[in-house]
Amino acid sequence: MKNILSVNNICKSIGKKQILKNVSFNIEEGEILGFIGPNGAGKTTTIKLILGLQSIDSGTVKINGYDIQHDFEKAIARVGGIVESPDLYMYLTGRQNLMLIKRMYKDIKDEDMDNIIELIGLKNRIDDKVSKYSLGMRQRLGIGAALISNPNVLILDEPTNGLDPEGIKDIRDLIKKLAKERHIGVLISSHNLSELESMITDACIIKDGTIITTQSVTNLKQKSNTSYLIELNKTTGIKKLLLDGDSIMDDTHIRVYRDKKDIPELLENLIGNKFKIYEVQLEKLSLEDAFLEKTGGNIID
Amino acid sequence: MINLIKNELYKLFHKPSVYILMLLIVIFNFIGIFGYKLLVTDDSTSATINQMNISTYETLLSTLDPSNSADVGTYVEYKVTYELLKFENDHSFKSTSSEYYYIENNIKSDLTKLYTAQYINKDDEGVKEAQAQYDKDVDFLLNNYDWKVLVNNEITKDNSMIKLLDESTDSTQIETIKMDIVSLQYRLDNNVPFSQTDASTDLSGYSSAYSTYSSYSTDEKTFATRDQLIQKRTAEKNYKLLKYRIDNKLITNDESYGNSYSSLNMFKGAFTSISFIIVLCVIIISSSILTEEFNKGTIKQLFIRPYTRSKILTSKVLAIFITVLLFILVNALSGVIISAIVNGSIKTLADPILVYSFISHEVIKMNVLSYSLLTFLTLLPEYLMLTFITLLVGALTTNGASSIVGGIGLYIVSSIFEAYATIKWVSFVPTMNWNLSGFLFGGISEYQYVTLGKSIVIDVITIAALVIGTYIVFDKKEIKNQ
Repeated sequence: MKNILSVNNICKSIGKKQILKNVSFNIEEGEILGFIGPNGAGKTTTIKLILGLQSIDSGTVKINGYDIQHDFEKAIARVGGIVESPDLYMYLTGRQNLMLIKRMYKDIKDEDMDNIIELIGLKNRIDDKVSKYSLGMRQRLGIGAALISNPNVLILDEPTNGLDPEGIKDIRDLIKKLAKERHIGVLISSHNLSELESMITDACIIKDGTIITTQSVTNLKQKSNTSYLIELNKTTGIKKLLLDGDSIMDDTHIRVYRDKKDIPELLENLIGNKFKIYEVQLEKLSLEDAFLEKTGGNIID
Repeated sequence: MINLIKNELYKLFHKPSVYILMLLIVIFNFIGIFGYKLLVTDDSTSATINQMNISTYETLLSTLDPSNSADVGTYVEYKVTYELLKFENDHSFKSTSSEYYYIENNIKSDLTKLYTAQYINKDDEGVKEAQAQYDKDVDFLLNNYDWKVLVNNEITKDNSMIKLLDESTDSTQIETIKMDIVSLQYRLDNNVPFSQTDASTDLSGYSSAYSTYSSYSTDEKTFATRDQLIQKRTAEKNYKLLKYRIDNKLITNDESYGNSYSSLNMFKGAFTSISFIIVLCVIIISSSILTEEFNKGTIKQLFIRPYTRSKILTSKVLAIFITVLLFILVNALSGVIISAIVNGSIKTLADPILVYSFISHEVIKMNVLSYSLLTFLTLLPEYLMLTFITLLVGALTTNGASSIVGGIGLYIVSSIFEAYATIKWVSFVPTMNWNLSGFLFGGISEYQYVTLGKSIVIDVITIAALVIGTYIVFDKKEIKNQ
């Protein structure tokens, strides 16, 4: 699979402060990369550099093989994006907003636009003024606007900001569908990890303008230790069966760190020692936990 | 590019501001035209004014004592006006009629002679004489009035004056009197009696226009100051244009003659000058088309598209030009239509525009369309400077209020500099050179140190700097966080 977005060692300073230091990552077709970091880490700035909204001090950004600094028109031709918030003309209707964008591209058919309107679920309200839309509707229209050009790269800056759980679910399903069906490569930035967790295939973690790690979500979670929470009839006398790092939570619960293959042996041990077992729960490490581990910092603001 | 421009126009025309500005233009035209009509042609109001004045003068006269030598001069003056007002009140003649003119001139002079003889000279013979003259003239006015008699009297007077002057007299004096005879004959041939109309005033001024014109040397190098040169040229132009009108029988007693709000003048005015409302339109449109997008963030929608920033800016600039042209057309058309409705006629549009050329020293006839277009082109530097200063400040600050201040500031500053035109370096200020219309047809600038060649160079440099500056700032603009 080819790289559709390739960011190489981009640096950006504003005044004396260095905002981005050698930021690099790639996105392939069909990949959904979560761009994760605390506020002020440089997520939006990186996105602005990728889209040509701010200048790049050093480094390169290539989209579909074209350099954004030297071949802007070709590089941006198949890109769709939302930066900070969907930029829509409030005094026009949803349809009029989409029409303005459609006119900027060649060969976009009316039915393509109708398909997008249906896809984003705004068919019944598309002819209302955007000023009357809810935030969720505006986010969806913004995604629609990003899709008009039939892009193969989608760059979404916090697209679920301010949405209710249903709205988030809609966006999530939409993005997964687009990645799968249209082989679009997606970059989503967020600081809300639980929302991203079910959407992304890969995660790129940024802090203070530097990329800390980039890997697939499965890898990220795997490398962290998995824990099991076990509910018993009692915990007195259980210590001799536990290892370093395991903990006794209270009179009836313990937490153990084991690989999956070691669990049956542990349970046999407990039963053999006359403990009664009521519940064995795998505590899946959330992305948030994995993140915390990697960055060593609090990411909830 | 066409699609980009279509988008820009679409956005502009889906907002109320464009329509509000157009409405303002129409309203301003309506007020101007309708107001003029009321002011100039409504005689009913003057009757009320007259009544007020009569009682005022009554009061004034009662405060003065004609036997007192200090008061008597003023007394006579007031008495004449008082009697005249009463007379006009008793016989209501239209203020534009020749009878009214006769009253204001001949009857007034009769009354002056009468009261001077009565109160100042205290000369009974003089009073009798004056009274007889007064009675004769009033009788003529009320019973046998024929304005042609008056004109013929003047012709006779002029002819006897010529006979009196011998050959050694300056030929200019004789020519001047001959010009007067021409204007008098014109009145007879074309039915233009003595009156307060513009037609009559123009004809009356013919002979003095000639004598003023002849008093100046034709060698322009002999004029020391710009003011003197302009006086000479104005006199030349006035005389030559009047002569042309007389030779071609263009002076008529038609109501449209001299009407500054005729359909012709409304159409012409929209192209030959930039009214303040149009200046506002240029600045407001230029400001909003740029700064609003930055402030609302929608500029990003334009930037993440396969177009260079220069192309985006160019589409906005062209949209501004198209919209401003539309405002000018609305100004012209609404002026023409309202004038036609209020004045009852649109046919003045077909009248030729007379222009005096200082190149050929002849009068040129042009139709309103060519004249308007030609003059409009000479105003382009002003339009361009106002547009691009607003755009430049807008691109630099992304602040709507600042960019509007930038544009209006330039406009206000221009009139300040005009007041200091006599200082040489002021002539290098771009706004002193942005109106090239004075140079048409061999004309010169009213400002001492402003010349055509210099103006063109300054205009080109200034506009180029503003345009290039705007494009560079726009191209390099970093989109900061909202």
